[in-house]
Amino acid sequence: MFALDTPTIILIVTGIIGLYMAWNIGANDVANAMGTSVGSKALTLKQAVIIAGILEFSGAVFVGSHVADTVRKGIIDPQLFAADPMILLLGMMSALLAAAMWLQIATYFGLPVSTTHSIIGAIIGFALVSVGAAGVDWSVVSQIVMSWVVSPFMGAIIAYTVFSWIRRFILGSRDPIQATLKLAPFLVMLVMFIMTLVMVFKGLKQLHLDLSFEAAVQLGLVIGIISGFISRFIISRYIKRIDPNELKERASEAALNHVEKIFIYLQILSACFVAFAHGANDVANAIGPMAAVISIISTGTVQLAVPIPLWVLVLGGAGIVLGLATWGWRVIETIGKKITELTPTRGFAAEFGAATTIVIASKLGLPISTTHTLVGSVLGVGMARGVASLNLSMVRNILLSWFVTLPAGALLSILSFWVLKLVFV
Amino acid sequence: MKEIYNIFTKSPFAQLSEHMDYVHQCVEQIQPLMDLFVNGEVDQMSAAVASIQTAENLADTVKSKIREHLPKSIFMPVSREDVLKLLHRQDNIADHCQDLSILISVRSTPVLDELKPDILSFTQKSLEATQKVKELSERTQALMETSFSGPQAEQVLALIEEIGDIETQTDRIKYDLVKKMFELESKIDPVSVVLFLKIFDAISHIADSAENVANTYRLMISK
Repeated sequence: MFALDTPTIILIVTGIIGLYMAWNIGANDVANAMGTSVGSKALTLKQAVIIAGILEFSGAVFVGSHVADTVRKGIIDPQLFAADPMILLLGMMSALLAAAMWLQIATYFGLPVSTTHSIIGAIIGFALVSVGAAGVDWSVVSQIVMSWVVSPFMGAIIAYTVFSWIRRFILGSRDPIQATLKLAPFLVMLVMFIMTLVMVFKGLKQLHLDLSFEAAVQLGLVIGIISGFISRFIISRYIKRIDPNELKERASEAALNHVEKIFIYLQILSACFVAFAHGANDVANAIGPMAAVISIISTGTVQLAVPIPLWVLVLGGAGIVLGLATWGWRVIETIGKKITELTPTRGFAAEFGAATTIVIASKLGLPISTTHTLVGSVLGVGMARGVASLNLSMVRNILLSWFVTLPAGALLSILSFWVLKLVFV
Repeated sequence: MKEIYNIFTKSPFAQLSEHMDYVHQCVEQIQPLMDLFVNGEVDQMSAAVASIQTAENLADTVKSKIREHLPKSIFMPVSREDVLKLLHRQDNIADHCQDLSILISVRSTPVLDELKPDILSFTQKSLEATQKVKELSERTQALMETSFSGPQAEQVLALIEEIGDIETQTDRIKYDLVKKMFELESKIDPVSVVLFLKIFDAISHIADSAENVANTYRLMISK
């Protein structure tokens, strides 16, 4: 009954599906982080792809495992499958396959779907046909759904606050360039502090580098302050090169243009932050189910807690990079041309809001949607009177995608489950 | 993920300034037309009148385009009503230019030498207001950059005050001009008096609509 005579085949098939899912994530999702920087000509397409690749990969490998736990174990109780681990194994395979397929279908139709929603929908679908509605932990599901609603709001609030601050103290100041020199290093410090904190505080579990909270905060502060000083040095060098004739009037449009140019570099930083956060958050969608399959194959039983092998995280990270390299660059290019509306100051605020939210949710183990958090953040900047015009029908599309993605993922997962069952059992 | 960038739509501010450009093309014809008018050269006017007509039509096209792309679901840093109001008031400037061009070209009206300099300076003052409004429109982009706050907004507010002052001055000039005309009423035929009154109204309407445009900007900034 339990087809351990074919474990290698299953392992390979799972690996391929997982890679396919990760490829999909890399091909479609990553572009958001880098598109803005390419659009403002701060990075070339090639540089953007390389930087995104590195940060997605490190986000996936260093911080990724926390979310994977929730996706894999939270929704269904693995103990229900103790008698027949093969079912869980096939279920996880079909969930992966369904989510990846749905992602590709949605991309084709231009729907703003979330990879996270797809995989959760798919896992719920599998649970429904295998153990029935009673086997699904609905409280966990509702908690996850709540986090989908909360995360765009949180992104919006952070982006609103950051942009209002930039507007008030930099763009709206008497001397915007000097204000940038004074204040931008603090923004750099903040980004580096949060990134370091997240990476170090529990994040480097994979490398067995556990630091206490205090130690993590201290390290984050040190790295943040050093980065702040470096950025101040770079900005002051940039300002020295500005032609003084151009700036007779201190609060002129020319001055504002220079502020935007300086913020291009901050935007690259925030784009890196998004890529990192995205790697941390979304890679779990691919590797969570994969890790379950691998643990069942290697132990032959369903275990309560299985450590996610480092090589699985690496595989997920590699898949994302592969997707980015083969297909993602096209998306980056399209986006880069499309979003001239999001000037560097706006882009920074939006990306900062999104990345901070994603990273916090990722630490809390909540699988949230990167897409929707970013949309929330852009709206936040808009509410701070930062964007010329936003199309709010997009919000309707997002709500629609919430209602469509879950059932679609579930349905595809049920179909895949039946097909895989025919093949392997 | 790329789909989320559909959230951005065409900026109505760029289109508003495109509309302003056409409005200004109408305004630019007024001074030469008035020169012809006071010198009684009505037969030379047709080209300028036609070009006002064309520019006014183009402004209308842009106006419809903006309205089409401004559904309720659009979210802007200023209220949708203010944008539509601004558009309407900008368009009024072009409409009044067109009215004026028709009034002065429709009949050969002799102008007394005593009134000529007053009429020309009255026109000039009124057109000065529209000139400032064009400057205002060009500054919108900078306002957008600072989200309608800070020193940029203060500069624009100062400009708005200035436009208000110019409008007050045109009203005073108009009052003096009308008074002067009635002092000379024995020398002017009654039909001409009626027409003059209409022409003066049209000229002051141009300044009025310029002031209205400026006040809409004030509403946007003080939101």
